[in-house]
Amino acid sequence: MMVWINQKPCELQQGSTLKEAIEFAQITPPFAAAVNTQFVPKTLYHQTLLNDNDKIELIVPITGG
Amino acid sequence: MLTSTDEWLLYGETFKSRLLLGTSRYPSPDILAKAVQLAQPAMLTASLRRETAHAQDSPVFWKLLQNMKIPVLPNTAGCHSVDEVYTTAQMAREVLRQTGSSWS
Repeated sequence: MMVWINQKPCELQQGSTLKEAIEFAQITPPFAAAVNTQFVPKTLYHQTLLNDNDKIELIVPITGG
Repeated sequence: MLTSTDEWLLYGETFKSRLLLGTSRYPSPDILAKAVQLAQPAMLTASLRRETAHAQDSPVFWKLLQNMKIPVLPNTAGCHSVDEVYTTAQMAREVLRQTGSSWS
């Protein structure tokens, strides 16, 4: 199936979880995740099943303010 | 000059400064660190953005923030709706939780 990770198309196996998508993205902590604009806490990554065309946002802290 | 009457009590924490200092647009991390050292602000503000080429320095920046041992206040700049602000705030809390911040 195809999902979007930070607006980039990514091909994952059918039935993949958010945990697997994050591993695919190889993001360095600290970060946080949302699926289809809904925040997903870290404790739910492994049980959050993804669907085709889901939009995953992974955000990290940067300079600002 | 700071006196005891200048202290700022916020959500059970006492701050000796009322200055909230941004972390954007410093010429280098070193100059940011020096500015923070001199200003001794109550908090430093930071943004949260998608992991992209623009955010590739995030681990370095975050290490710098941790070394300065000053509370970090994440902002919601760049959000275009109330829902987006709410989600970003929740995500910011998760990020700070990973650092052991008492503000999470």
